[in-house]
Amino acid sequence: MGNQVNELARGIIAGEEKALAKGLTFIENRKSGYRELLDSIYPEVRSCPIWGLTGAPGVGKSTITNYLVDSLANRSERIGVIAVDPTSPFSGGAILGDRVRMMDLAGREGIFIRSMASRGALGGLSPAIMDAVSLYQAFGVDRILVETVGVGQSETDIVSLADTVAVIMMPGTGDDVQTIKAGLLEIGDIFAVNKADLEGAETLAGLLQSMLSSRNGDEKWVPPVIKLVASQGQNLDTLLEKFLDHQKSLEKSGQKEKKEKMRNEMALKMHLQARFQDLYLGPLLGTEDWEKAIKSINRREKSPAYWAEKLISGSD
Amino acid sequence: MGENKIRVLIAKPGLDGHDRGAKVVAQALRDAGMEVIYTGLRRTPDQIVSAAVQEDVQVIGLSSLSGAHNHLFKKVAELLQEKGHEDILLIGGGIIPEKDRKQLEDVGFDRIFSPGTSTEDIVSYIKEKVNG
Repeated sequence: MGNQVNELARGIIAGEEKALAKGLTFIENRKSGYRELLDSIYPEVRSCPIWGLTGAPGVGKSTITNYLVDSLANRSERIGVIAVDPTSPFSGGAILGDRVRMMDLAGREGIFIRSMASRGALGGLSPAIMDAVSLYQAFGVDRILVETVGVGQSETDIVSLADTVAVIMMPGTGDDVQTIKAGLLEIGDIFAVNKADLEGAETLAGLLQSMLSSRNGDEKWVPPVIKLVASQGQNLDTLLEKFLDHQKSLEKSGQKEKKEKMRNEMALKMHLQARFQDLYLGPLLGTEDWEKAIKSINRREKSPAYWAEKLISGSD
Repeated sequence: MGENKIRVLIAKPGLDGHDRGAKVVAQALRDAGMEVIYTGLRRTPDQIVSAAVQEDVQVIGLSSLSGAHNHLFKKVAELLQEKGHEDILLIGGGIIPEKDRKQLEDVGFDRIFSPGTSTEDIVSYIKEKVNG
């Protein structure tokens, strides 16, 4: 097993595609030895800009990602893409369909795309996704694009993961209140209203603009609102420019290091949570004490809060 | 620790636009707990193999209703062998006459499913082949 890990690490660092593909599976499955794999590649991790795209299903994220990757690859950049789709909580399976809109990129030199299911993560990004970023950075890419479905926790997770976050919206998906309550306003560095040829695009863009103007007054970067028709390629070049502008602004203001620190903290936190779960929650499930607690809660003798404390402290 | 999820790539090579069958199979595999990378219509054998390598799937499922399966399916099998990925389970389905099925199984397909196959049969075939 040690050999397998060494071989994978060597291949990833040497920039071998097959090793990266196998390495990603290794960390995703949390195979024994995955920590050693991360350890051996870690000194070779080279930081690079990480861009995030988030938004509800069907707003056009993959079409936009496809354009961005295509343009950047044309500038001879090496690009890594991570496309995250939700795991079904019922079967544990997933349909990962982001490649449908990105198939022209398949087989092109310097582009690596990996579809990942959210798996065990409670609505957010799984720690494996943070680790996948590290593998890409050891493999050697110039830029990483992460695409996530913006529902629930993953929205806030993407802020910790990406340097620049674009929130993609479209008209006709709900009233003004939906736009505010979704929590999307706080996380975007760039806002794109896609399918701008549909009715309501003006209104949505105007609303976003007015709400963003009242967001944190002391920010140096004012999030732009761009109208797109991604399927026709309309205004996608402007979106790319805004991404590059934001990156420059981060570098200038020294925010880039802050972002990196945030990302590392998040990765450590996610790994700790997973370990706590393995160490403490896992062994408790189904034990005698566990059953006793459930019975007591069912009979309304004691609350779940009481039992959580009790089970942690170990005494009865 | 960890679990080995079965990852499957479902693709439609060639020009026919009928993907109902491919989608039904994709859903059945998801419901069986697998991760299905669905790549959509009109893919070239090169695109399919390249995606399968990056996604590190254990299974590739091809669907064709156009009649061009002999050429396109065979090309996928050849590319996989060329690149040293014979370990990937290669299966197919669609409107494929019996004599062609045998031929394709000779050039590297593990199994060609005939019309009317139940999705349960496909699920259990994959599980048995991958998990041994």
